[in-house]
Amino acid sequence: MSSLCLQRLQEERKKWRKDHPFGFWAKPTKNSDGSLNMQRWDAGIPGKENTIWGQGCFPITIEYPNDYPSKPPKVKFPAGFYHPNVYPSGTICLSILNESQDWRPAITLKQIVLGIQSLLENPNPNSPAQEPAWRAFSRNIKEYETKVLEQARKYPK
Amino acid sequence: MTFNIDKELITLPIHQNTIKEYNEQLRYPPSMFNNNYNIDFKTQTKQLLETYIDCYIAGIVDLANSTSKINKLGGNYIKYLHIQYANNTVLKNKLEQFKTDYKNISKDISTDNLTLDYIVNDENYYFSQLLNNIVSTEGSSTSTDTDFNNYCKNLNDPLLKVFKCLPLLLKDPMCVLPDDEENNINNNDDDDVKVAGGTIELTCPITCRPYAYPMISRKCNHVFDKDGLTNYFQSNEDGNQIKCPQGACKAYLTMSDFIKDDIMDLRCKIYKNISKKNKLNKNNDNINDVIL
Ligand SMILES: [Zn+2]
Repeated sequence: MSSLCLQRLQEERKKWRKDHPFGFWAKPTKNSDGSLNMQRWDAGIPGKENTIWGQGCFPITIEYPNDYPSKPPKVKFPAGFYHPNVYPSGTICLSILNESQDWRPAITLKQIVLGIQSLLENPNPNSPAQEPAWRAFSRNIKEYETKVLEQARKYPK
Repeated sequence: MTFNIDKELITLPIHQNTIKEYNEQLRYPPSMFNNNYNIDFKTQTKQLLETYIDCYIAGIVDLANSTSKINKLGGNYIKYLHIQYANNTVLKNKLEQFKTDYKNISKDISTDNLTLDYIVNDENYYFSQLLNNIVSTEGSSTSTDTDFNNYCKNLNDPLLKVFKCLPLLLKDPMCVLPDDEENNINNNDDDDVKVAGGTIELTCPITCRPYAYPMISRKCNHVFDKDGLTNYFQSNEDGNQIKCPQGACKAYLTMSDFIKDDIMDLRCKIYKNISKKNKLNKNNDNINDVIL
């Protein structure tokens, strides 16, 4: 791991502890020996109130590569997560998380989690990543909403 | 135009020759045909200013409560630029005059004859007359203060900028400078890039730490620490231009687009100094509390 990667992650952690958006949580995972693994974080994204996502707080994992922040972290929901822009593996398709698209070293954890929260209720029609949610979202909105509500109950706030 | 000779300069921990030379230049400002002083003058001014700032950081000089020292130094610098500018405009006017005069007499001379030999051995003394006119007349500068101000703006002189900003920064090192606002209007890619809640962040967006060596992009005015930038550009193996590290900025950059950001450097130094002082005061208060 480069020294910049570790240094930046320590600063991100400090900043997050000092101030983070309401309802969100994020922390580095622990290694088997109890020490902190700064390059792998767990976090929770609350659905926005008064939307079909509003009842849930959805878990993500954030993996920071060795050349972070030059390269973006890989952010995943649990495998099989129901959303048009989430791959079956759980990987999130979001432009600010894509190196060849809008990722920049100045993008913070706060911006990432807010970006994901906004993606939940505003799927991007230009980048379908899975068949079931995508099909329902574009052809059968009732079915889509039922599935989303069901999923939100699985991850209560 | 008269300069302010600052007697307090002698108290600065700087080589006395530098101060002597500086004062010497104030006594003999640049003339029309000898502008080459100004490089030295600029270097000297910069050196003196840096010494003042170093002394301020070291607690020897109290700049925050007496900006007059800075104003004297800066005032002289602006006057110097003004003289230089006035001389240049006079020369420009004279050149125009020469061109007009030449057009008038050139009817008599065919361009075939216009060799260096002809000019030197000029039997009709056309050129000597013209040159005489140019050199002997006082010449006039038609420039106004607005012209000079525009000239200063286009000059983009970092030293001039420091003089303008320093009094504001001494009061509040995180303040938004009028120029910053201008920059943001000119390239409104992302409004909240440099300005967050009316204050300037003194930490690098890449390293998220206080700046150690701030550098500014000449293309988009975004500021990053040298370490973060080096790392970012090293990750790009082919060495082509890559996107600015700032979110949503549309500029494509290489390391060579960055120069040291003197203003950010000043902000950090002053900020550090103020927090150091505040800490000291707090400690003193605590001691007083105990005594009371
Ligand atoms: Zn930029």
